[in-house]
Amino acid sequence: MSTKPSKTAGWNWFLQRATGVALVVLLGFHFAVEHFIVGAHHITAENTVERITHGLIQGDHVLGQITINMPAFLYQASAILLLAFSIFHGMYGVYNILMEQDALKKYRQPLKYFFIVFSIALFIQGVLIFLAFFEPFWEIYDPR
Amino acid sequence: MSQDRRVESYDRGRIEDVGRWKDWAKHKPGMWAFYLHRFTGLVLSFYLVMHLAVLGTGFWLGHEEYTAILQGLESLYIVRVLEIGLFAAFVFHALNGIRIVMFDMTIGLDIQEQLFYLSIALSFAIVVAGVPFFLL
Amino acid sequence: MATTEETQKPDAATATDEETATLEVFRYVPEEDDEPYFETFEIETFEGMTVLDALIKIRDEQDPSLTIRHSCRMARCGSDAVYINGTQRLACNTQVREVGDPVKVEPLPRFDVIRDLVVEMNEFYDRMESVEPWFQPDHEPETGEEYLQSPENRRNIDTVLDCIWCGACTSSCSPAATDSDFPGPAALAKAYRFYKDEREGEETRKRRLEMLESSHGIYRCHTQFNCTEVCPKGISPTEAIMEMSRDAVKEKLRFWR
Repeated sequence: MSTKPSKTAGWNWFLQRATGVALVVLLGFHFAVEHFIVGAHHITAENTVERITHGLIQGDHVLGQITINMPAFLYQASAILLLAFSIFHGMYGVYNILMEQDALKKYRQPLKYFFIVFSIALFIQGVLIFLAFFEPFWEIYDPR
Repeated sequence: MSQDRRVESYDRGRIEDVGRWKDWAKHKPGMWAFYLHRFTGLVLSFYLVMHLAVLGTGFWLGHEEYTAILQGLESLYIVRVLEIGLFAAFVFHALNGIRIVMFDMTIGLDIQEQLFYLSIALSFAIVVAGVPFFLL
Repeated sequence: MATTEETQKPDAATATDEETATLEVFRYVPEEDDEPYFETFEIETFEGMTVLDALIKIRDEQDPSLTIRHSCRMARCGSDAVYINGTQRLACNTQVREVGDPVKVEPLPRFDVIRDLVVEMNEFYDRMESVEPWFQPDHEPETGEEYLQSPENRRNIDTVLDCIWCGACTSSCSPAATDSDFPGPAALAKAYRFYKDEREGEETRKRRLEMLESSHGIYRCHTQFNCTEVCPKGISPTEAIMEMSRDAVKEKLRFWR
């Protein structure tokens, strides 16, 4: 039995709860916008740019014609926070499931580094997606 | 320290091998909540990775390809149905997550079964209400 | 019709006082068997017969080689925890007529089997010892004679003190099953008993909390409530663990306040 005291375990446990509560709101908002107002099959690059660059949520779905013009920075903040929180919450959750298995005891250290690197890679990918629909950036850089 | 006291014994394996799934009908609500929470959590984590991979086309390929891929995926009926599953996973994970955070603040530990049934009933109601948004 | 009535009547007569029960008992004798098997016994039951009574009766009358660990037979010693019909229970605390027929008796899951229903408990005792379940006061009492505890403080630990180290909760806990570094519900409830004790002083309290705060400590509890469900003494280790993790996090957030 090795119960080595850990300074980070408590913080991570707390962050897992805090991000979880935040995600209830953020992911709920994300579902409401993409599926309930816009409708997933109406999503195009054009209206994604509208949302991310201008905070303009427009939809003609089950609820009828809806237009919400929220401050752009608020929508952008919600998107980036959703990205960061969901990656931390999801990856720390999966990491913990693996940490609990005695069968993987030998690979604890490599798994830890893998998850850190993988999470950072996911975050970078997410930020790039965000920038792809953020007009000021897209005007400077276009891969084609 | 007790290794030297140990006598020869038969390793029956972990409880998961011996009794868990064989006696699934005897599982208590708390255990079902755990299974469902872990399952929906894995589903959502897997989806997160896939989601970022698919949306990545918007950056790596361009806006036209992004629209084409999304419209192509959404035209498949199975994708729409799976999206309802994703929504259900999120709603249950969120409601049961609130239940767990309540326990962490030592609230409602003695009514955990009722809270589990409440989270199931609420998620069912929310998902049923949400179905038209995914299929229409 | 007549024949069915005749066959039903004797059944109804025996149901009042002399019922029979079928016991499927897990058997494994290391010197003789390569693999464990189940042996079925038919016994007559009486009102108030416990599973332990039934097993002792089988040992007395049918098979003297049946092995089970027991001593007080009244749910005080905690040596006869077994797995009855899919739940960890004390054999001496379970009515044969109430658990349904057949009664399937297995040794505690997750523990290694030494013989029949007897399991190797040393691993469990190691887990218990890992939380240092002994009294460690910071300083001598001021009166110089006794370590006094207030009745209010004692009330906090009234339930967890009842732990009889039977191992039922640790056997039912799935994180304890998959993670051998996790002390398990019994050990953490025992840790709570000392953590809450005011006589140990602030220093020891903090040290105990730090000790439990490893990445395989209190934070491995997933609130499955299996331990709370199976505890024969009505202890809720989940509640104890949650209170300690709440306190530990509060300690970390203290600089905010």
